[in-house]
Amino acid sequence: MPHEQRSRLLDPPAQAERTALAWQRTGLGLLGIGALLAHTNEEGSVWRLTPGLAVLAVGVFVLLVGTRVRYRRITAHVAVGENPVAPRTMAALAVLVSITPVLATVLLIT
Amino acid sequence: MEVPKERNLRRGPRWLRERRRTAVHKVGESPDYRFTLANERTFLAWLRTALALVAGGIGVVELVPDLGPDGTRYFVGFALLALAFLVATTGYHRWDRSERAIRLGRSLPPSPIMPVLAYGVAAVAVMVGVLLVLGS
Repeated sequence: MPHEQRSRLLDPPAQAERTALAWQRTGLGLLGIGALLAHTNEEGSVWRLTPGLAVLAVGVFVLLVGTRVRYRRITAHVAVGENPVAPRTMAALAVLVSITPVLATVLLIT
Repeated sequence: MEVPKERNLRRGPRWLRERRRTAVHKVGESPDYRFTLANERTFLAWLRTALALVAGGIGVVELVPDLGPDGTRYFVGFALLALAFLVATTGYHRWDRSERAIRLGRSLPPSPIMPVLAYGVAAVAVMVGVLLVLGS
């Protein structure tokens, strides 16, 4: 079955796709914050670069892996009539995003 | 349809009591998956709001040194970062409460963060506006 036809069947009102796009935007947001955190590193010290690089890495992971895996899980659950709720994924992302203002504060006061 | 009772122990602080509650996917009945995904996207939108506030906080301190005195810029920047932290850390709880409400067929819970965020962003806008006027 061609991909388009199959995904239309599994994802009637493009729910999974919209959710994947929301994940993608969140990943892009993390990339932006990672770049900004890395940018605050004026002295060029290695340890001050680490938080920015770490957030960039999280952003790349969310964009390339998280978005795709979540999309597949959602379509797989919906295809068999299950609810695609994922509390642990939500909690993990909330923790990762909550760390960014803390990292920013530490970098700005040191 | 019988709604399973929420196992909610009475003792201990609120966050601990909520940890002991029934797992979210076992509460009530499985809702229309579109509601679950809408709740997920709303959660992601809140997290992006937090990220935008972080960007604003870093920006006002690091990227616009001419905006005003250091003290004021740091005050505005840290206020934005504090708002970001508040929005991000309450995001999961909000998602969880909404998901439970959806599964139990109840109306969605109100969000106490909303006015804090709105007035906070408005206050920051006013302060930046004043700095711009004073600086010109």
